[in-house]
Amino acid sequence: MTKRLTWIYWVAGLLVAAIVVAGYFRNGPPHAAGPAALAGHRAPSFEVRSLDGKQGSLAQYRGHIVFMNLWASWCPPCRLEMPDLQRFYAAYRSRNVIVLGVNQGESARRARAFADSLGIHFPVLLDEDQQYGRVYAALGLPTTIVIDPAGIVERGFDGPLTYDQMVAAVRPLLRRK
Amino acid sequence: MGSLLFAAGAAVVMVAIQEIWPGRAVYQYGWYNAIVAASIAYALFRMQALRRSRPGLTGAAALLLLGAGVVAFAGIASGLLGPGPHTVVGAPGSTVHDADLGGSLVFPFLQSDHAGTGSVTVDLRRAGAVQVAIPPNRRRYVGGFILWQRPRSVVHVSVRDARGNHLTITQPTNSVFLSPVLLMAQSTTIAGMTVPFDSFAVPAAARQVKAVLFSVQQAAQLHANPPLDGLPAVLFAVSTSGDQVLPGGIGIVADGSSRSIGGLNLTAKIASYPSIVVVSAPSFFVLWIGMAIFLAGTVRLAIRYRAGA
Repeated sequence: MTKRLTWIYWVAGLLVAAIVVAGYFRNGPPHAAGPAALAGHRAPSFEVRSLDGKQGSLAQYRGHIVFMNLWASWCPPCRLEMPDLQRFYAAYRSRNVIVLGVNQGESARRARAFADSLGIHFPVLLDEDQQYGRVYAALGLPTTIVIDPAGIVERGFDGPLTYDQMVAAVRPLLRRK
Repeated sequence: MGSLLFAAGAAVVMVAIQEIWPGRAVYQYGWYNAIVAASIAYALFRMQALRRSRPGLTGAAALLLLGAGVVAFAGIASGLLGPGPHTVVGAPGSTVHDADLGGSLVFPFLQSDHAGTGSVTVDLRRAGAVQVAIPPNRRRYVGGFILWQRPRSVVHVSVRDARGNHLTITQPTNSVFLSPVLLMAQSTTIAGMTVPFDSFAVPAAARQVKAVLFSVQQAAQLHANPPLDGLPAVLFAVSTSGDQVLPGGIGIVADGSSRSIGGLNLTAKIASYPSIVVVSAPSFFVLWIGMAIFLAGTVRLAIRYRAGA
Protein backbone atom coordinates (compact mmCIF):
# COMPACT_ATOMS: atom_id res chain seq x y z
CA MET A 1 0.00 0.00 0.00
CA THR A 2 1.47 3.35 -0.99
CA LYS A 3 2.09 6.09 1.55
CA ARG A 4 -0.35 8.30 -0.32
CA LEU A 5 -3.14 5.73 -0.02
CA THR A 6 -2.43 5.34 3.67
CA TRP A 7 -2.84 9.09 4.11
CA ILE A 8 -6.11 9.07 2.22
CA TYR A 9 -7.39 6.31 4.51
CA TRP A 10 -6.37 8.22 7.61
CA VAL A 11 -7.94 11.47 6.47
CA ALA A 12 -11.17 9.71 5.41
CA GLY A 13 -11.29 7.84 8.71
CA LEU A 14 -10.78 10.98 10.79
CA LEU A 15 -13.41 12.84 8.76
CA VAL A 16 -15.97 10.11 9.35
CA ALA A 17 -15.05 10.00 13.05
CA ALA A 18 -15.57 13.75 13.33
CA ILE A 19 -18.96 13.54 11.60
CA VAL A 20 -20.12 10.69 13.82
CA VAL A 21 -18.96 12.25 17.09
CA ALA A 22 -20.30 15.71 16.15
CA GLY A 23 -23.76 14.16 15.78
CA TYR A 24 -23.86 13.48 19.52
CA PHE A 25 -22.73 16.97 20.49
CA ARG A 26 -25.26 18.82 18.40
CA ASN A 27 -25.92 22.09 20.20
CA GLY A 28 -29.05 23.79 18.97
CA PRO A 29 -29.66 27.45 19.74
CA PRO A 30 -30.60 28.13 23.36
CA HIS A 31 -34.19 27.04 23.84
CA ALA A 32 -36.58 29.62 25.24
CA ALA A 33 -39.51 28.22 27.20
CA GLY A 34 -43.11 29.30 26.95
CA PRO A 35 -44.58 31.83 24.52
CA ALA A 36 -41.22 33.56 23.96
CA ALA A 37 -40.05 30.40 22.13
CA LEU A 38 -42.49 31.14 19.30
CA ALA A 39 -40.83 34.39 18.19
CA GLY A 40 -40.16 34.26 14.46
CA HIS A 41 -42.63 31.44 13.80
CA ARG A 42 -45.91 31.69 11.91
CA ALA A 43 -48.75 32.35 14.36
CA PRO A 44 -51.20 29.42 14.41
CA SER A 45 -54.87 30.31 14.18
CA PHE A 46 -58.05 28.41 15.04
CA GLU A 47 -61.65 29.13 14.22
CA VAL A 48 -63.66 29.49 17.44
CA ARG A 49 -66.74 31.39 18.58
CA SER A 50 -66.41 35.02 19.51
CA LEU A 51 -68.12 36.93 22.29
CA ASP A 52 -70.55 38.48 19.82
CA GLY A 53 -71.76 35.00 18.84
CA LYS A 54 -70.06 34.83 15.42
CA GLN A 55 -67.15 32.62 14.34
CA GLY A 56 -63.75 34.27 14.63
CA SER A 57 -60.04 33.54 14.56
CA LEU A 58 -56.67 35.20 14.84
CA ALA A 59 -56.23 34.85 11.06
CA GLN A 60 -59.02 37.32 10.32
CA TYR A 61 -56.81 40.10 11.74
CA ARG A 62 -53.97 39.47 9.26
CA GLY A 63 -52.65 42.85 8.07
CA HIS A 64 -52.89 44.31 11.58
CA ILE A 65 -50.43 44.31 14.43
CA VAL A 66 -52.19 41.91 16.78
CA PHE A 67 -51.75 42.10 20.54
CA MET A 68 -53.28 38.74 21.51
CA ASN A 69 -54.04 38.31 25.19
CA LEU A 70 -55.00 34.93 26.68
CA TRP A 71 -57.07 35.33 29.81
CA ALA A 72 -59.72 33.80 32.09
CA SER A 73 -62.21 35.36 34.50
CA TRP A 74 -60.85 33.48 37.55
CA CYS A 75 -57.34 34.85 37.02
CA PRO A 76 -56.61 37.87 39.30
CA PRO A 77 -53.62 39.19 37.26
CA CYS A 78 -55.82 39.09 34.13
CA ARG A 79 -58.39 41.28 35.88
CA LEU A 80 -55.65 43.72 36.93
CA GLU A 81 -54.27 43.93 33.40
CA MET A 82 -57.59 44.46 31.61
CA PRO A 83 -58.04 48.23 32.18
CA ASP A 84 -54.58 48.86 30.71
CA LEU A 85 -55.36 46.58 27.76
CA GLN A 86 -58.59 48.50 27.07
CA ARG A 87 -56.73 51.82 27.33
CA PHE A 88 -54.01 50.54 25.00
CA TYR A 89 -56.63 49.35 22.50
CA ALA A 90 -58.35 52.74 22.53
CA ALA A 91 -55.08 54.59 22.06
CA TYR A 92 -53.55 52.42 19.33
CA ARG A 93 -56.55 51.15 17.36
CA SER A 94 -56.12 54.01 14.89
CA ARG A 95 -52.50 52.91 14.30
CA ASN A 96 -53.46 49.47 13.00
CA VAL A 97 -53.01 47.73 16.37
CA ILE A 98 -55.72 45.25 17.38
CA VAL A 99 -56.05 43.90 20.88
CA LEU A 100 -57.55 40.43 20.64
CA GLY A 101 -58.67 38.78 23.88
CA VAL A 102 -58.83 34.99 23.86
CA ASN A 103 -60.72 33.57 26.80
CA GLN A 104 -59.38 30.19 27.88
CA GLY A 105 -61.90 27.46 28.50
CA GLU A 106 -64.93 29.39 29.72
CA SER A 107 -68.51 29.77 28.58
CA ALA A 108 -69.74 32.91 26.82
CA ARG A 109 -71.84 33.80 29.86
CA ARG A 110 -68.83 33.93 32.21
CA ALA A 111 -66.62 35.72 29.70
CA ARG A 112 -69.29 38.30 28.89
CA ALA A 113 -69.99 39.03 32.56
CA PHE A 114 -66.26 39.62 33.09
CA ALA A 115 -65.88 41.80 29.97
CA ASP A 116 -68.96 43.87 30.82
CA SER A 117 -67.85 44.44 34.41
CA LEU A 118 -64.53 45.87 33.18
CA GLY A 119 -65.86 47.82 30.19
CA ILE A 120 -63.92 45.82 27.59
CA HIS A 121 -64.62 46.75 23.97
CA PHE A 122 -61.88 44.95 22.09
CA PRO A 123 -62.77 41.71 20.26
CA VAL A 124 -62.82 38.55 22.38
CA LEU A 125 -62.65 34.93 21.17
CA LEU A 126 -63.99 32.05 23.26
CA ASP A 127 -61.47 29.21 23.15
CA GLU A 128 -63.37 26.55 25.10
CA ASP A 129 -60.95 23.81 24.07
CA GLN A 130 -57.92 25.92 25.07
CA GLN A 131 -56.28 25.39 21.69
CA TYR A 132 -54.62 28.81 21.67
CA GLY A 133 -53.32 28.21 25.19
CA ARG A 134 -51.75 24.92 24.18
CA VAL A 135 -50.20 25.99 20.91
CA TYR A 136 -48.84 29.26 22.29
CA ALA A 137 -47.22 27.35 25.18
CA ALA A 138 -48.84 29.45 27.89
CA LEU A 139 -47.05 28.92 31.20
CA GLY A 140 -49.85 30.65 33.05
CA LEU A 141 -52.40 33.43 32.60
CA PRO A 142 -52.35 36.06 31.33
CA THR A 143 -50.15 35.34 28.32
CA THR A 144 -49.61 37.89 25.57
CA ILE A 145 -48.40 37.31 22.03
CA VAL A 146 -47.48 40.15 19.68
CA ILE A 147 -47.98 39.24 16.00
CA ASP A 148 -46.86 41.31 13.04
CA PRO A 149 -49.12 42.15 10.06
CA ALA A 150 -47.69 39.20 8.11
CA GLY A 151 -48.84 36.78 10.80
CA ILE A 152 -45.41 36.11 12.32
CA VAL A 153 -44.96 36.02 16.10
CA GLU A 154 -42.86 39.00 17.16
CA ARG A 155 -42.72 38.41 20.91
CA GLY A 156 -44.39 36.41 23.67
CA PHE A 157 -44.92 37.44 27.28
CA ASP A 158 -45.77 35.39 30.33
CA GLY A 159 -47.65 37.32 33.02
CA PRO A 160 -49.39 40.70 33.15
CA LEU A 161 -48.01 43.75 31.32
CA THR A 162 -48.27 47.41 32.26
CA TYR A 163 -49.48 50.02 29.77
CA ASP A 164 -45.90 51.17 29.15
CA GLN A 165 -44.76 47.60 28.49
CA MET A 166 -47.61 47.17 25.98
CA VAL A 167 -46.53 50.30 24.14
CA ALA A 168 -42.89 49.19 24.17
CA ALA A 169 -43.88 45.77 22.80
CA VAL A 170 -45.50 47.16 19.64
CA ARG A 171 -43.14 50.13 19.11
CA PRO A 172 -40.63 48.20 16.93
CA LEU A 173 -43.46 47.04 14.66
CA LEU A 174 -44.89 50.55 14.39
CA ARG A 175 -41.43 51.85 13.43
CA ARG A 176 -41.07 49.16 10.79
CA LYS A 177 -44.22 50.26 8.93
CA MET B 1 -7.23 -14.14 5.82
CA GLY B 2 -10.30 -15.99 7.12
CA SER B 3 -9.83 -14.78 10.67
CA LEU B 4 -9.39 -11.19 9.45
CA LEU B 5 -12.64 -11.44 7.50
CA PHE B 6 -14.42 -13.09 10.43
CA ALA B 7 -13.30 -10.50 13.00
CA ALA B 8 -14.14 -7.51 10.78
CA GLY B 9 -17.47 -9.10 9.79
CA ALA B 10 -18.36 -9.77 13.42
CA ALA B 11 -17.86 -6.08 14.27
CA VAL B 12 -20.02 -5.04 11.31
CA VAL B 13 -22.81 -7.45 12.27
CA MET B 14 -22.76 -6.32 15.95
CA VAL B 15 -23.24 -2.72 14.83
CA ALA B 16 -25.81 -3.50 12.13
CA ILE B 17 -27.93 -5.23 14.79
CA GLN B 18 -28.16 -1.88 16.62
CA GLU B 19 -29.86 -0.41 13.58
CA ILE B 20 -32.20 -3.35 13.00
CA TRP B 21 -33.31 -3.79 16.64
CA PRO B 22 -32.68 -0.36 18.11
CA GLY B 23 -33.05 0.75 21.70
CA ARG B 24 -31.70 -2.32 23.55
CA ALA B 25 -29.82 -1.45 26.73
CA VAL B 26 -27.06 -3.93 25.90
CA TYR B 27 -25.73 -1.65 23.14
CA GLN B 28 -24.67 0.86 25.75
CA TYR B 29 -22.85 -1.69 27.92
CA GLY B 30 -19.09 -1.28 27.99
CA TRP B 31 -18.43 -4.96 27.24
CA TYR B 32 -20.53 -4.87 24.07
CA ASN B 33 -18.57 -1.96 22.68
CA ALA B 34 -15.29 -3.50 23.91
CA ILE B 35 -16.04 -6.63 21.83
CA VAL B 36 -16.66 -4.49 18.73
CA ALA B 37 -13.40 -2.59 19.31
CA ALA B 38 -11.50 -5.80 20.05
CA SER B 39 -12.77 -7.39 16.82
CA ILE B 40 -11.41 -4.48 14.81
CA ALA B 41 -8.11 -4.53 16.73
CA TYR B 42 -7.77 -8.26 16.07
CA ALA B 43 -8.57 -7.76 12.36
CA LEU B 44 -5.89 -5.06 12.23
CA PHE B 45 -3.43 -7.45 13.84
CA ARG B 46 -4.31 -10.13 11.29
CA MET B 47 -3.80 -7.64 8.47
CA GLN B 48 -0.24 -7.04 9.59
CA ALA B 49 0.37 -10.79 9.31
CA LEU B 50 -1.30 -10.85 5.87
CA ARG B 51 0.95 -8.01 4.71
CA ARG B 52 3.97 -10.18 5.36
CA SER B 53 2.54 -13.45 3.93
CA ARG B 54 0.39 -12.16 1.01
CA PRO B 55 1.45 -8.59 0.19
CA GLY B 56 -0.74 -8.59 -2.94
CA LEU B 57 -3.87 -8.73 -0.78
CA THR B 58 -2.97 -5.86 1.54
CA GLY B 59 -4.77 -3.09 -0.41
CA ALA B 60 -8.07 -4.97 -0.55
CA ALA B 61 -7.77 -6.00 3.11
CA ALA B 62 -7.09 -2.41 4.11
CA LEU B 63 -10.21 -1.28 2.26
CA LEU B 64 -12.26 -3.97 3.99
CA LEU B 65 -10.85 -2.98 7.34
CA LEU B 66 -11.49 0.71 6.72
CA GLY B 67 -15.17 -0.06 6.04
CA ALA B 68 -15.44 -2.23 9.13
CA GLY B 69 -13.64 0.43 11.16
CA VAL B 70 -16.08 3.12 10.04
CA VAL B 71 -19.05 0.92 10.94
CA ALA B 72 -17.50 -0.04 14.29
CA PHE B 73 -16.73 3.56 15.13
CA ALA B 74 -20.30 4.60 14.35
CA GLY B 75 -21.57 1.79 16.60
CA ILE B 76 -19.22 2.51 19.50
CA ALA B 77 -19.89 6.25 19.32
CA SER B 78 -23.62 5.56 19.45
CA GLY B 79 -23.23 3.08 22.30
CA LEU B 80 -20.95 5.19 24.44
CA LEU B 81 -21.84 8.78 23.53
CA GLY B 82 -25.52 8.46 22.62
CA PRO B 83 -28.15 9.13 25.30
CA GLY B 84 -30.29 6.29 26.64
CA PRO B 85 -33.65 5.50 25.06
CA HIS B 86 -36.46 7.78 26.18
CA THR B 87 -40.03 8.63 25.28
CA VAL B 88 -41.24 12.16 24.59
CA VAL B 89 -44.85 12.71 25.60
CA GLY B 90 -46.74 15.77 24.39
CA ALA B 91 -50.31 17.01 24.50
CA PRO B 92 -52.16 17.57 21.21
CA GLY B 93 -51.20 21.06 20.02
CA SER B 94 -48.06 21.31 22.12
CA THR B 95 -44.40 21.63 21.15
CA VAL B 96 -41.93 19.75 23.32
CA HIS B 97 -38.21 20.52 23.26
CA ASP B 98 -35.83 17.57 23.50
CA ALA B 99 -32.28 18.52 24.40
CA ASP B 100 -30.82 15.23 23.12
CA LEU B 101 -32.34 15.74 19.68
CA GLY B 102 -31.37 19.41 19.71
CA GLY B 103 -34.86 20.29 18.49
CA SER B 104 -38.57 20.30 19.22
CA LEU B 105 -41.29 17.77 18.56
CA VAL B 106 -44.53 19.31 17.37
CA PHE B 107 -47.57 17.30 18.44
CA PRO B 108 -50.59 18.12 16.24
CA PHE B 109 -54.20 18.44 17.26
CA LEU B 110 -56.34 15.42 16.63
CA GLN B 111 -59.08 15.90 14.04
CA SER B 112 -61.02 16.39 17.21
CA ASP B 113 -59.77 15.78 20.72
CA HIS B 114 -63.00 13.88 21.13
CA ALA B 115 -62.35 11.49 18.24
CA GLY B 116 -61.47 7.99 19.44
CA THR B 117 -58.23 6.86 17.84
CA GLY B 118 -56.28 9.44 15.94
CA SER B 119 -53.76 8.87 13.20
CA VAL B 120 -51.43 11.84 13.34
CA THR B 121 -47.94 12.73 12.19
CA VAL B 122 -45.56 14.31 14.68
CA ASP B 123 -42.93 16.70 13.29
CA LEU B 124 -39.35 17.19 14.44
CA ARG B 125 -38.06 20.74 13.95
CA ARG B 126 -34.39 21.56 14.36
CA ALA B 127 -32.70 24.86 13.66
CA GLY B 128 -30.95 24.79 10.29
CA ALA B 129 -32.31 21.36 9.38
CA VAL B 130 -35.18 20.09 7.27
CA GLN B 131 -38.35 19.32 9.22
CA VAL B 132 -38.78 15.57 9.70
CA ALA B 133 -42.27 14.02 9.77
CA ILE B 134 -42.74 10.98 12.00
CA PRO B 135 -45.86 9.14 10.76
CA PRO B 136 -47.46 6.12 12.47
CA ASN B 137 -45.77 2.75 11.91
CA ARG B 138 -42.63 4.22 10.34
CA ARG B 139 -39.13 4.69 11.72
CA ARG B 140 -37.26 7.88 11.03
CA TYR B 141 -33.46 8.06 11.04
CA VAL B 142 -32.24 11.46 12.17
CA GLY B 143 -28.46 11.75 12.55
CA GLY B 144 -27.51 9.40 15.37
CA PHE B 145 -31.11 8.75 16.41
CA ILE B 146 -34.04 6.60 15.41
CA LEU B 147 -37.53 7.92 16.17
CA TRP B 148 -40.91 6.23 16.01
CA GLN B 149 -44.41 6.64 17.36
CA ARG B 150 -45.77 4.66 20.30
CA PRO B 151 -49.52 5.10 20.82
CA ARG B 152 -50.82 5.68 24.34
CA SER B 153 -54.16 6.45 25.92
CA VAL B 154 -54.98 10.05 26.79
CA VAL B 155 -58.13 11.49 28.33
CA HIS B 156 -59.86 14.61 27.07
CA VAL B 157 -61.71 16.20 29.98
CA SER B 158 -64.48 18.77 29.90
CA VAL B 159 -65.75 20.44 33.10
CA ARG B 160 -68.93 22.42 33.70
CA ASP B 161 -70.31 23.96 36.88
CA ALA B 162 -73.81 23.34 38.27
CA ARG B 163 -75.20 26.10 36.00
CA GLY B 164 -73.72 24.49 32.90
CA ASN B 165 -70.87 26.99 32.48
CA HIS B 166 -67.81 25.53 30.80
CA LEU B 167 -64.74 25.96 33.05
CA THR B 168 -61.02 26.30 32.37
CA ILE B 169 -58.79 23.29 33.04
CA THR B 170 -55.17 23.83 34.02
CA GLN B 171 -52.36 21.36 34.60
CA PRO B 172 -49.89 23.21 36.84
CA THR B 173 -47.68 20.18 37.36
CA ASN B 174 -47.53 19.08 33.73
CA SER B 175 -45.58 20.35 30.73
CA VAL B 176 -48.62 21.97 29.09
CA PHE B 177 -50.35 24.32 31.51
CA LEU B 178 -53.51 25.05 29.53
CA SER B 179 -54.56 21.65 28.22
CA PRO B 180 -57.80 19.74 28.72
CA VAL B 181 -56.01 16.60 27.53
CA LEU B 182 -54.57 14.47 30.33
CA LEU B 183 -51.49 12.54 29.20
CA MET B 184 -51.79 9.97 32.00
CA ALA B 185 -48.01 9.74 32.20
CA GLN B 186 -47.86 8.43 35.79
CA SER B 187 -49.08 5.12 37.14
CA THR B 188 -50.37 3.83 40.44
CA THR B 189 -51.72 0.57 41.83
CA ILE B 190 -55.39 0.28 42.79
CA ALA B 191 -56.89 -3.03 43.95
CA GLY B 192 -53.90 -4.87 42.51
CA MET B 193 -54.25 -3.20 39.11
CA THR B 194 -51.53 -0.93 37.73
CA VAL B 195 -53.34 2.02 36.20
CA PRO B 196 -52.25 5.32 34.63
CA PHE B 197 -53.22 8.50 36.44
CA ASP B 198 -52.97 12.26 36.13
CA SER B 199 -54.36 15.35 37.80
CA PHE B 200 -55.66 18.78 36.88
CA ALA B 201 -57.07 21.91 38.48
CA VAL B 202 -60.31 23.81 37.96
CA PRO B 203 -59.27 27.24 39.25
CA ALA B 204 -62.68 28.89 38.78
CA ALA B 205 -64.16 26.38 41.25
CA ALA B 206 -61.01 26.11 43.40
CA ARG B 207 -60.92 22.35 42.84
CA GLN B 208 -58.19 19.78 42.25
CA VAL B 209 -59.11 16.61 40.38
CA LYS B 210 -57.23 13.32 40.18
CA ALA B 211 -58.04 11.07 37.23
CA VAL B 212 -57.31 7.33 37.00
CA LEU B 213 -57.75 5.48 33.72
CA PHE B 214 -59.10 1.93 33.59
CA SER B 215 -58.90 -0.20 30.45
CA VAL B 216 -61.93 -2.20 29.31
CA GLN B 217 -60.66 -5.30 31.15
CA GLN B 218 -59.88 -3.36 34.34
CA ALA B 219 -63.17 -1.45 34.20
CA ALA B 220 -65.05 -4.76 33.99
CA GLN B 221 -63.71 -5.66 37.45
CA LEU B 222 -65.01 -2.47 39.06
CA HIS B 223 -68.73 -3.38 39.20
CA ALA B 224 -69.56 0.30 38.81
CA ASN B 225 -73.01 1.77 39.18
CA PRO B 226 -74.23 2.81 36.62
CA PRO B 227 -72.61 -0.02 34.64
CA LEU B 228 -69.80 0.88 32.24
CA ASP B 229 -71.20 -1.14 29.32
CA GLY B 230 -67.87 -2.70 28.35
CA LEU B 231 -66.16 0.67 27.91
CA PRO B 232 -62.90 1.96 29.35
CA ALA B 233 -63.52 4.40 32.20
CA VAL B 234 -62.01 7.20 34.23
CA LEU B 235 -62.24 7.48 37.99
CA PHE B 236 -62.30 11.09 39.20
CA ALA B 237 -61.52 12.25 42.74
CA VAL B 238 -62.48 15.88 43.31
CA SER B 239 -60.89 17.71 46.23
CA THR B 240 -60.54 21.25 47.51
CA SER B 241 -57.43 23.25 46.78
CA GLY B 242 -56.27 22.06 50.23
CA ASP B 243 -56.52 18.45 48.94
CA GLN B 244 -59.57 17.53 51.05
CA VAL B 245 -61.74 15.09 49.07
CA LEU B 246 -65.30 16.41 48.94
CA PRO B 247 -68.38 14.42 49.98
CA GLY B 248 -69.53 12.63 46.82
CA GLY B 249 -66.21 13.66 45.32
CA ILE B 250 -65.26 10.25 43.92
CA GLY B 251 -66.97 8.77 40.90
CA ILE B 252 -66.34 6.77 37.79
CA VAL B 253 -67.24 7.90 34.27
CA ALA B 254 -67.40 5.64 31.21
CA ASP B 255 -65.67 6.78 28.02
CA GLY B 256 -67.77 9.45 26.31
CA SER B 257 -70.16 10.10 29.17
CA SER B 258 -70.62 12.79 31.82
CA ARG B 259 -71.33 12.69 35.53
CA SER B 260 -71.66 15.13 38.39
CA ILE B 261 -68.89 14.51 40.93
CA GLY B 262 -68.09 16.78 43.87
CA GLY B 263 -70.12 19.65 42.40
CA LEU B 264 -68.48 19.48 38.98
CA ASN B 265 -69.97 17.99 35.84
CA LEU B 266 -67.13 15.96 34.35
CA THR B 267 -66.99 14.49 30.85
CA ALA B 268 -64.22 12.05 29.87
CA LYS B 269 -63.29 11.01 26.34
CA ILE B 270 -60.50 8.51 25.91
CA ALA B 271 -58.36 8.68 22.79
CA SER B 272 -55.20 7.11 21.47
CA TYR B 273 -52.39 9.58 20.87
CA PRO B 274 -48.73 9.01 19.97
CA SER B 275 -45.68 9.58 22.09
CA ILE B 276 -42.29 9.55 20.38
CA VAL B 277 -39.63 6.98 21.25
CA VAL B 278 -36.09 8.36 20.85
CA VAL B 279 -33.16 5.94 20.76
CA SER B 280 -29.59 6.59 19.77
CA ALA B 281 -28.31 4.41 16.95
CA PRO B 282 -25.31 4.39 14.64
CA SER B 283 -25.57 7.22 12.15
CA PHE B 284 -27.54 5.78 9.22
CA PHE B 285 -25.51 7.67 6.61
CA VAL B 286 -22.11 6.75 8.07
CA LEU B 287 -23.19 3.15 8.60
CA TRP B 288 -24.10 2.68 4.94
CA ILE B 289 -20.90 4.34 3.74
CA GLY B 290 -18.93 2.00 6.00
CA MET B 291 -20.91 -1.02 4.81
CA ALA B 292 -20.33 -0.08 1.17
CA ILE B 293 -16.56 0.25 1.74
CA PHE B 294 -16.53 -3.03 3.67
CA LEU B 295 -18.36 -4.86 0.87
CA ALA B 296 -16.14 -3.30 -1.81
CA GLY B 297 -13.07 -4.42 0.14
CA THR B 298 -14.50 -7.93 0.59
CA VAL B 299 -15.26 -8.29 -3.12
CA ARG B 300 -11.84 -6.94 -4.10
CA LEU B 301 -10.16 -9.26 -1.63
CA ALA B 302 -12.03 -12.26 -3.10
CA ILE B 303 -11.07 -11.29 -6.66
CA ARG B 304 -7.40 -10.75 -5.75
CA TYR B 305 -7.37 -14.01 -3.77
CA ARG B 306 -8.77 -15.96 -6.75
CA ALA B 307 -6.29 -14.30 -9.06
CA GLY B 308 -3.57 -15.70 -6.80
CA ALA B 309 -2.22 -12.36 -5.65
